[in-house]
Amino acid sequence: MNDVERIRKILRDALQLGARADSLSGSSRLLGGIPEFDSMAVVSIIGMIEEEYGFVVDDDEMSADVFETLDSLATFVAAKAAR
Amino acid sequence: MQAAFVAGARGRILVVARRPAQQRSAVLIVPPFAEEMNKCRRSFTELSHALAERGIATVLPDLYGTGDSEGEFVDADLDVWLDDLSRVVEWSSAQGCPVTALLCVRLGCPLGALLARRWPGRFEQAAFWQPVLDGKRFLAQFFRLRVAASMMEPNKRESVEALRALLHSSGRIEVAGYELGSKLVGQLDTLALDARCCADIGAIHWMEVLRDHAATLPTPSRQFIDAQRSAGHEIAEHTFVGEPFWSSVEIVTNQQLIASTAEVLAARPAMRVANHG
Repeated sequence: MNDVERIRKILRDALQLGARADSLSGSSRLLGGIPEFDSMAVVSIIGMIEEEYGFVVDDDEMSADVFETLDSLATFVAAKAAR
Repeated sequence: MQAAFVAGARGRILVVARRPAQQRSAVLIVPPFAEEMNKCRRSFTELSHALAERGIATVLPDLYGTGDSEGEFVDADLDVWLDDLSRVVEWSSAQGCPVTALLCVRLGCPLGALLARRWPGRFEQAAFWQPVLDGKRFLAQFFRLRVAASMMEPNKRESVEALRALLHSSGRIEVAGYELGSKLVGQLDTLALDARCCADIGAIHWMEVLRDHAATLPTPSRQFIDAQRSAGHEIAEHTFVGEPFWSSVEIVTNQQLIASTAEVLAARPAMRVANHG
């Protein structure tokens, strides 16, 4: 499973998107694009990513750019995981 | 169902008790923190029905400064919560329904462990739901709620570090609608799930909901359980697959978790003779 797929699954679980998650593409907007994407959702998603990938996200790394699209989030995660 | 106000250390505490006609004993629910409590209320109601069918009462307090209990959240701290939980245990005994088991949820696990320290041997068993092991890490995640909210506003950027500086200067900090006082924050910073609870409580059922069948217990949980088992303590692990009932956007309940909890708490440990002297 690549990072986009893994994160799509995390989004599906965290936001309870069900089948809606399958229609998310890399360029799908997250912040502002998915109504459920609020601050509590962001915190749940970061928690799940940390657990799944085994790294810790610093708070200064949390920015709106990272959560813009599925691709931008996957890029961020891949860069963190490679470090 | 009975709702009663119990005299707490600093104000009246609302306790909701569900008592079946042929009750034997009660399970005290040690609640999770802040919004997580609201996410869990439906689970608690369903569990109380499942336990009542098995002749067991449920006692659910709103901690000081939360729900319909008196006090302000900003004035709450672990000491007052523990004192109030102790009073609720005593109140239930006085009502002829002694608390013999705990259901500790999230931050309620380290809190329940501290409660058990006050009464070693009193609780025959406890179910731990999705235990928080490290208060400092839990608090960092809670503070993130405010950092995440600020992220969504243009030209506003907060950090946990800046929030802590603000807390230091003003003595309080508001996160996601909850105002935390500096005493509570200081206590949470050093709070950890006390391993001695495994000696204080007869048997522990460690229960976690995982995201899928391939997932395993998080490493800190694994290490805690293994260490306690090698020390000879009775600690059973139960895992379930489902959505995070304590944090999900929509309220969810996990039927298997609720059914298993009712089952294990209704089966009193046969190996131990409880002495509530």
